Amino acid sequence: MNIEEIRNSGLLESYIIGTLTENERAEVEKYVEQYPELKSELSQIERALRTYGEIKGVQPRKELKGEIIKSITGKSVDPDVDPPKKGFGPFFFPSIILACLLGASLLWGSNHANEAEELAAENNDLRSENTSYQLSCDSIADANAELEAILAIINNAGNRIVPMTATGNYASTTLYLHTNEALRKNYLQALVLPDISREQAFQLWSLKPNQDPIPLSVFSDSENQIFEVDFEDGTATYAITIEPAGGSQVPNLELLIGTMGV
Amino acid sequence: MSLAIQIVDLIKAKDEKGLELLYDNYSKALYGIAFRVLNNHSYAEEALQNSFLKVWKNIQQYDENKATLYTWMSQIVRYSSLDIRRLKSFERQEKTESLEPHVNHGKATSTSTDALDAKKILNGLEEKYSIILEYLYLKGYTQQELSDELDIPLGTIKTRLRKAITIIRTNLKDEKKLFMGMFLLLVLVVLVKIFIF
Repeated sequence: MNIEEIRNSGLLESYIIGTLTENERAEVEKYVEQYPELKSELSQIERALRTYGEIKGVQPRKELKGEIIKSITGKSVDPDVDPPKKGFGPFFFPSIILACLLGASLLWGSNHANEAEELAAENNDLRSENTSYQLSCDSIADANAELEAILAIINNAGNRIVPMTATGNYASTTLYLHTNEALRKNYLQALVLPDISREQAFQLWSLKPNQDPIPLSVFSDSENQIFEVDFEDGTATYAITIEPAGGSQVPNLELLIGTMGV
Repeated sequence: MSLAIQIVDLIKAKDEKGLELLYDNYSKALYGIAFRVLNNHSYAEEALQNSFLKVWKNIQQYDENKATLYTWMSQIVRYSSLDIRRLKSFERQEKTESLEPHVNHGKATSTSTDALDAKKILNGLEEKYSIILEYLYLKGYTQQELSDELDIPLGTIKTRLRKAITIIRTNLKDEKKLFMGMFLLLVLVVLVKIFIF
């Protein structure tokens, strides 16, 4: 028989009930050796039948226990002794409480572990924030130093401040050139600049007599700032035009914003 | 150490505590088998006493690899009860009369059946299946005897026996899941209360 045939034969149930002959029992035990998975099958059948037997059980009279044990061993037993219970032993409920406490401890520990993790994460965040602030401070300090340097240059006795003469289309533009020929430094102070698109930029040009315009610094978004731009020796006039972003080699005179004669 | 092993070790050591434990844990189910075979309390008590004596004397024959202690005991009780029935010259007619009501007095001693709902475990076990278990498992009929008694083919007896056990097995699994679910829920509630308060 294969394993399914054995299962369907009724032999396993009869084996547990105990209604098989010796030969049949030996046959089942041989099958169990051949198919070890039948052990689990037998165990489940056994459990089902035992449960059925317990449900259908009949409580014998109370004195019978003492009578049977005395008849076998000659010793008396207390019939009123509470029987030890299977499954829920004397340690069952303490175990439950202990399990609950353990669970609560784990939960508490887990919660505090989470809290510690959160604090560590918060600490890391604060460290990062601190680093960021330090960088900002450094950056501001650098900017300050730069501004101080600019102010020092601007306030230099050798400086000249040249206002830009705006063309008609850009009359509202307000811009000053701080130039120092001794130091060969140029700074632009842009107060009001015309609006340009993202694809455009401002470009500084150097104009010299009898020469083509020389392309210099390209800048954008520089309103209300003072920033250094290229210095070109021998420049007669500086001009600013609007050019494609990145600058050009030849100025677009149609978009000439203004000029600064030096 | 399991309860069954503890009992076997005690009885092997001829310690009456083993018999006490055996009685406390299995007597209700075993007495139920004896009573159904014999349909008489006095005879059932005699069968139970004979069975305990056999276990006391022959505990060395018990092989835990072949059967649980309960199954071994239940078979001893069934054989003892059948022996008594033969001795008392029970008539076939009496067997048929004892078919009628199922006897189920008192509260189950087994914790497993206390915890699990007996009705749910027997849910779906129709009469045609329960009668097979009643006769074969509790009353000690052989399958052939029952086939003759109920005038049902032997193959049908086998099929119904298997079906009956399958129903109980399925219900036990479901009930165990429910029981475990409720237990875990209880533990969770306790944990939540401890945690909150």
